[in-house]
Amino acid sequence: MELYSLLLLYFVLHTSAYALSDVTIDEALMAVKEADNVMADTSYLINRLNSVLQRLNDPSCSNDDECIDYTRMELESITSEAMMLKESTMKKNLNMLMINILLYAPIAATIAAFVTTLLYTNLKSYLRRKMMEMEVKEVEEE
Amino acid sequence: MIAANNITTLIRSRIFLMSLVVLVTLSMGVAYVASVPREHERFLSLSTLGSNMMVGDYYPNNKKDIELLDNVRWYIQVYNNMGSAEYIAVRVKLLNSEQTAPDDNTHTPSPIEHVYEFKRLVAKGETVTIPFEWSVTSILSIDNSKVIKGISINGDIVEVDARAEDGKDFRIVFELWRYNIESKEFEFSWVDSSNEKRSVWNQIWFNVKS
Repeated sequence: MELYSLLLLYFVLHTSAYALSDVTIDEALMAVKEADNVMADTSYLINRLNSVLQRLNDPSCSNDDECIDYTRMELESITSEAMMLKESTMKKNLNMLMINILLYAPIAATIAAFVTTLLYTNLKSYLRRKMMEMEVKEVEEE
Repeated sequence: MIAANNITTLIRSRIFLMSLVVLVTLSMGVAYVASVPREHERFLSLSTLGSNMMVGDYYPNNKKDIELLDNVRWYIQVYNNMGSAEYIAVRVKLLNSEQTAPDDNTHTPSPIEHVYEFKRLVAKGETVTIPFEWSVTSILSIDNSKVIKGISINGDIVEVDARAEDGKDFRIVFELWRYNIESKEFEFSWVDSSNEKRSVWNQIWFNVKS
């Protein structure tokens, strides 16, 4: 009877550890995908997640509480880092967009407008001068 | 040199102000459009390469005949262009010529159970190369047929049961499965950027000689 209870307890702990890991893998994967969607560099997170998946697929890990705890902590850490990476990348992207729109775009436009106006006025005065230098000849009609 | 007076006149001119307004609007628009991520073709690709990591040299001695304990080295390459990281599984199946292969039209996998599986998370735009070293470890001859009872894949011995007449036309099928977070399952097909169903698989034929 005692053996049966122990087996039952082991089974409950074993399956719950797996279920928890599965949920956390999904969460970590989702967090990494979301970070990817905002163009964050997730390569180091993917390397870490791959090594966690490798540990979880190792049969010896499923019987080792220390291994399960480590992978759980690692998955939680990856999830939170991916979320932070997503937030920071979104902020960085927004800042870059603001700098481009409010600083670089007006500077480039002002330089382009200045050059355009300069070219236009110079061309205009050149054509005017050319016109002034033209000799007016009277053509006799036959 | 342009005199300061001339510059002031230039800046105050109507043509300068007009071109400035137009160019500022235009450059802001360009800056915004450039920051919006563009839609691209979404796909996953799977390729099987030979021992020299090229298309070819799939068999030892360049013959389709593989003998017991002949070491065969292939490489499986998966490229992810889905726009974000993908959790993939490459499922290896051992089939004979009569068993059903995956179907490209209905996007259904082969009904035969896989004998081995590689699971990897592939970053967006990344190509992963998985070494696939295998050999036939056990063959039974029954009447005119040869039955493969065991194969070694990357050092792991796997029990199989595949039979073929005269040991001809066995095939190793590689199926690419993609993990769907919503259904929490690996799926053989997925939807691409044009909303069409896609699936990817490869197969390599071989004969066995004991």
